[in-house]
Amino acid sequence: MAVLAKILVLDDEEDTEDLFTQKFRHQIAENRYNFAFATCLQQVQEQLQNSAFDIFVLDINVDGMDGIALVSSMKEKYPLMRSVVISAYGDINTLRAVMRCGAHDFVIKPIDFKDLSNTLEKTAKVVAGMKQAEATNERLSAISDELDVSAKLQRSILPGNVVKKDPIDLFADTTPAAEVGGDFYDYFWLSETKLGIVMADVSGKNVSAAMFATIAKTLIKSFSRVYPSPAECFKNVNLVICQENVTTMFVTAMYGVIDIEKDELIYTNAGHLPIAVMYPGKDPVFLECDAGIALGIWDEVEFIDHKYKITPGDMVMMYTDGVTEAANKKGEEYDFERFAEVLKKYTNAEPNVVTAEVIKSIRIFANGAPQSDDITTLCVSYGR
Amino acid sequence: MEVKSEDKGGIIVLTPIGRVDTSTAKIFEDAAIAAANTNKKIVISFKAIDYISSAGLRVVLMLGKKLTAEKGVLVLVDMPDKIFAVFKMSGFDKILKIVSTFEESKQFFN
Repeated sequence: MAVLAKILVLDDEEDTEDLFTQKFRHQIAENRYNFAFATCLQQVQEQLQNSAFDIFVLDINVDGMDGIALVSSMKEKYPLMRSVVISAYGDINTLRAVMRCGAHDFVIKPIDFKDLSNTLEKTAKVVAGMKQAEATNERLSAISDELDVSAKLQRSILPGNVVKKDPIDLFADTTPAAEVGGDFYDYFWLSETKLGIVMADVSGKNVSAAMFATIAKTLIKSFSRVYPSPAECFKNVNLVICQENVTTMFVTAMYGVIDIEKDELIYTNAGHLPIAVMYPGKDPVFLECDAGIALGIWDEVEFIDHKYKITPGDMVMMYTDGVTEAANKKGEEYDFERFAEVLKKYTNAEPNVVTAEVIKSIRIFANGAPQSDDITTLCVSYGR
Repeated sequence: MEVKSEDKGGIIVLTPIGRVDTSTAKIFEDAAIAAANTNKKIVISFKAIDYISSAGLRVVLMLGKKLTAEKGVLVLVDMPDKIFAVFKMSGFDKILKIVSTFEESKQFFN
């Protein structure tokens, strides 16, 4: 679906308005972009008083203006608006400074309108994703007084728990602890042949954790459509969460994209537990990957894409520490060894059966000890 | 769960004892904030911790951020392998100072 974005353009060159109106005539006609133009700072302020904008496009070298300071003050005053900077070729130092001050993206002069068009489209999608997260947040705040709201919230954000579409057979499950935690899973088709899968665990419990989970989940799903690379997606989700995060909450997460055409799983990690892979008759393996860092902690972190070549017959499992850290009355943990043993026994079974067996084995191990953490799993068998 | 707090030559050493999970993290958090309000040089010793959950990690992180903002320093010491694995897995070892012993932590306080 086309995204409607309101865009404010600041440039002191007179033909800018004509040029933009001409080059973006289709988007304007289709009502996807709504432009307003300013040639000086005063006009910018007038425009911003009259309406809200999603994207601010500015020439960094407008006479008599400190572009860097402007970008950073815009970021502060209008946190949902994103700035796209136009800069002269070769002016790397200014660009670097302006990106550090919070510009979202840039294009180089002379403007390649195709490039600008791509940039605006991407930026518009990011803003739309953030607005959606914000709207969700507001909606949640409004109902957060209800009794038992956190449990309700947690359930309400989960999609269904079964997907059967050749070659994918997916089963997900969550068993909430006595106090509702912040586990969530998600899956979504990015195209006919690409399935995104997410497993995450928010620090803390109850309403605040459930709300944080909802925001993280919305951002990941929205940004997955803008950034095909899982690592790029997490990088941008992380930036947004870091900016808005005043409570020092964080979320560990693993995100993978299964590419059916290429038999590939591309995945990235934000401080979460490694993906388990089972193949009939073989020992389960835990996929090696960079730990990254939990989302919401540090805005300068880079995430890394890892690639796993899927063999038809493989089964991939994501889970939270409610599995590995499940404890019995003596305080011993279930741990990876026991987990791997169960997986090994059921390498031939279907995802729902494996999941049920894992949970059964945790129950037997815990022997009635109440669990302090949610137990959440997502299991995909491939081409079986 | 309890948190022992002692002054070692101008450095506050916090030693949480037992399990730091959702139900006990508040005790740890209160002790951490109380320490940070009186001293900006803090060491947490993990020698007596059996288990730390994400709620406990959050307290460590919160303390680290608070001290950094106030030009203080936080160093984590005496970490059993199992606890270190938790810090490493969540990526927290990238942003927190972790060394083996209290002696080694002193290099950060000059």
